Amino acid sequence: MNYLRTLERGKIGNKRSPSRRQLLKALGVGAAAAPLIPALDGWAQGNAASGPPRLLLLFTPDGIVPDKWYPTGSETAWNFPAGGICEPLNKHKGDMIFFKDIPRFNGGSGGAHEHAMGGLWTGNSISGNQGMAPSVDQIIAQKLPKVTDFQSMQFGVAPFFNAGDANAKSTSVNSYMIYSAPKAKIPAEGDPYKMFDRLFGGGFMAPMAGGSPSAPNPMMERVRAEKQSIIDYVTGEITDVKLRVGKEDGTKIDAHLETVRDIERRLTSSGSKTVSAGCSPGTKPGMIDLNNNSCHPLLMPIVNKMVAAAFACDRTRIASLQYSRGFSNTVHSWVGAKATHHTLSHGTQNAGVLADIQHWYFGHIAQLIDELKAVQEGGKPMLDNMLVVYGNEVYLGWTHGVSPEPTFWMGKLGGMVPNTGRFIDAGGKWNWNQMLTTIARAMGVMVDKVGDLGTPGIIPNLLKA
Amino acid sequence: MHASVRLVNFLAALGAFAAIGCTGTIPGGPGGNGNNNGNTDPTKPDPTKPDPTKPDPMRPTPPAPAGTTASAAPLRRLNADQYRNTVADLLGIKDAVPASALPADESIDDRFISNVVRPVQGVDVERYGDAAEALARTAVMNLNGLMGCDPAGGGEQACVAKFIESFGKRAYRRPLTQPEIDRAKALYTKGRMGADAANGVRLVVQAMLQSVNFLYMFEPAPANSTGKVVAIDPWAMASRLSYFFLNSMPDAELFTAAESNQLSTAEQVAAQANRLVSSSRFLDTLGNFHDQWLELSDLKAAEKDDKLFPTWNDALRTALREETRQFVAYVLRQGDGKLETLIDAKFSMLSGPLFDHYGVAKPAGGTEWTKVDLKPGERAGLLTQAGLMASLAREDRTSYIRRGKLVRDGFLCTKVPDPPPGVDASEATIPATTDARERAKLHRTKPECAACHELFDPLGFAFEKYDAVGKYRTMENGKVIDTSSAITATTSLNGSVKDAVELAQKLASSDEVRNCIARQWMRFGLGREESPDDDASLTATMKGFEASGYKLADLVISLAKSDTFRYQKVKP
Repeated sequence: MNYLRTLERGKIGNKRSPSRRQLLKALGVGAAAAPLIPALDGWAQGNAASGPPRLLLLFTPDGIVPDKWYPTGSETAWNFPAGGICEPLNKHKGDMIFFKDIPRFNGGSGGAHEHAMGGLWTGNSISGNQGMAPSVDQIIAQKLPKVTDFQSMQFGVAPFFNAGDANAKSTSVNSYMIYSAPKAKIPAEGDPYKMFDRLFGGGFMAPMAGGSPSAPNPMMERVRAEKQSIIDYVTGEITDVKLRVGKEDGTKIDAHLETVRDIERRLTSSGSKTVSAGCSPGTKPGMIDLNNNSCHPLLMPIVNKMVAAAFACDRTRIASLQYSRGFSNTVHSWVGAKATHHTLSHGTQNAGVLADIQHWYFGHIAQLIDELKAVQEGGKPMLDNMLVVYGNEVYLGWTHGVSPEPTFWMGKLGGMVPNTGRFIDAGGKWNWNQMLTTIARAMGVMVDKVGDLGTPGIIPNLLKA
Repeated sequence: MHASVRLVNFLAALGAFAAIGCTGTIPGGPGGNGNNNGNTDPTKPDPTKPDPTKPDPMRPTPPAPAGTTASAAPLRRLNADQYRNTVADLLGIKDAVPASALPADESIDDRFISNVVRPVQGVDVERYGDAAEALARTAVMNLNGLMGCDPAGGGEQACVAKFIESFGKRAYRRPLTQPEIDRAKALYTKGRMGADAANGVRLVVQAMLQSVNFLYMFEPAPANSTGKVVAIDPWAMASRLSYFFLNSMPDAELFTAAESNQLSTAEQVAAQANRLVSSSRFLDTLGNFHDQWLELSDLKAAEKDDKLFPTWNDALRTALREETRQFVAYVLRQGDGKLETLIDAKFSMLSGPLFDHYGVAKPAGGTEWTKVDLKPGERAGLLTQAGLMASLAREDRTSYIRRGKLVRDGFLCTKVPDPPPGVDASEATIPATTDARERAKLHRTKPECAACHELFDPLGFAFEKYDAVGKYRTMENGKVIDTSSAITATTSLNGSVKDAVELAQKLASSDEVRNCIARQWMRFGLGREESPDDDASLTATMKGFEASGYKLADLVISLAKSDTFRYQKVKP
């Protein structure tokens, strides 16, 4: 199977708000089922009308260029350097908290890159090149009750790109930044076609285009019924096997069964409970060769839209978006790069093109933020209910040093982050582990410390008192 | 509500039945007119009773002879390579699913890829589902080829029944039970309703590829036998052998041997192991072992500073990695097959850019992968091969730490603990212009680091004449490189060595190293870490290894016929 996809002409969703009746129809349930759809509600906090809180971790690789990165000015009156990396975010400055000098530590055995990826969101030492603790998003996902079909999702653009070798025998540890447990890597899905199916192809029925009442689509129902019968088969086999294995193997089989049950639940749940007015799956992407370097720019807006749709349609409330991977093998020829991003990142003489590469990524980040703002919830942009956190696996490519972590926040998280539009020069007073702990607390997960490095506690004056 | 009833109601509610002619239903499936439940036909064997002429995977395996010791075996889930190889053998579809589309693998001892500890997570099962669907859709494009019969040829029921039993046996690596056959037939019927035979078959293939019976290697044991040592049943034994030697599902010979109960005695297993070692596919396994044992998989993505190492490129990287595979294959097939040669050979297999890299002339008439004698005194065996040296180095400098640590844990089997938390091991702050010994000094100013580094730093110093791309050098920063070092903390190798060549020579004839490498093969072959219950089998394996003059082929065959490979201690 090469990864050339044929274009599927799907219905184009629109941004019109469907009526409740239309929504129920679209969900394929009758009036009798209406009481089963709960009122729109918040999650751990936030009020009922405004939509739930969400977290998005955002990643670009291979370090930044300091003089093209840091703003200048005071906490409230500050500017990005002219022609700098973050210039495309100028229009979103009011939604940001930009941090300077947040030291990040690393520990354990492994190479510089592996430290960088396995330690980024875990704040933990690594072992055998792998993360040894859950990343902050997974700490949150494991603590909060399951209210969406996907407790968390991992989006990626070319996260496994390996110089075009589609059949590389193994994957690099540098492709993984999300961990659910020690050494339990969660892959980012780099195939938007599969991601679309996962998000919207199973039980989910989107509000229909044009707001017109629609009959259930027999093709879709057939697909759903077939998926259900495969699940029945698979669970039947697990039940048989369970009778023949001992306790030790049984634990593994139970875990397997539980994930199959999750899939089944999504298939039969008729989608989400808190569909925002701007919920629009859009069209299924197609005709993208994932192993072709030159296709990466094409993927960026597609994946961005999908991230926004996943949140707007409440498929998940915790996600990560990984552009490329640590040790990126992408050649950003469209900004004039002549070697892989990682190779370039080793030379100070390449600072110019390295800044151009990040500038290009940040243009797409700005577009993503546009998408997140375009969705309206209770008369406010969805971004207001979100916390978007940026991280890079290293600070400088040429030293592979990870400290200080280049990072910023976007969004008010439903009022949990009341004061945005700030530039905070932390001066090394707070470290990256405290940043991760602050993120967990912001999402309502009361931990004292994330990771085995750094120090406990949170960064003050960021969260609502 | 029962799932199948729910489905039927679901379809009925949609009016889907209007278009469905209920053709193609088969006995045993809902809506079919056959009825196996009562088994009223006296001429048919009772499916609830095992056929006594055949080994039954559900039947208790015989207890081991008194005194047999064998280790408990954790449940293994196919790793990405095994999955890819297995579907290639099963469906004849190669490279349909890239490793990156499958769940991330674990490794045992941070070395050998094996999924034995961590249970699957949600996204893993989604990925298996996606892969199964893509494979099944491709497989049914050649329906008659896949089924071995033509379902449109008038005998759909018989054709489907035959397919389910034969394909199911290959997919689950053992015969299906009657309930499993019925379940598959029922699924076929559902897929067939309102669609064609291909759709029914597609659902069956798609479901089987997601079944735990396909994804995991179950090794059944009798009930209430926890802690007892029992034989691995013939079907599971076929899988143990095939995933060890071929890294894939059992081949036809192994299926035949399992069917006729010919995998019970040590001699029967040794005969199969002998056959498999001689097969061309074993060379790939041999290459995989060395890739994982020597951590060579990192080489593929290894980037080097292009100002310092202008010749470093993809062609060189690929050739360096292939060199090790070619070298071990040569030693096994054309050479003396001895471990000593692998560790101490004064030759290697070169091709393309490697002649320049090693600074040796390309022999006249030499083409692809030619055996070449290397410059005397510069190299000795696997450990000094340029690919390994480049892999165990940083972008701009060598890594005496990684090189020394490979000798310590890969050749001497001393487990080195991780640095304590909070220690920055990235060397990011150490200037590139310092040499290895200066770096080590800086590194070891902390006493909590020094104790462990003493175990491997000195071993690493011996390799300093191979630079970060594995080229031989004698000078660094204007100074003559000193590779003399001292081996400590071993049972028989302690003492001074003048360089890596001398170190390799010592390692090559050391029992400590032979024992360790047998251990490494055991971890690789069984996909798990060893336990004290493996000691007797390791001793037996070493006996066979020694009797052969330490030939690699005899090592793996002895391992396969050892008790711990043929028996298991039943887990709780």
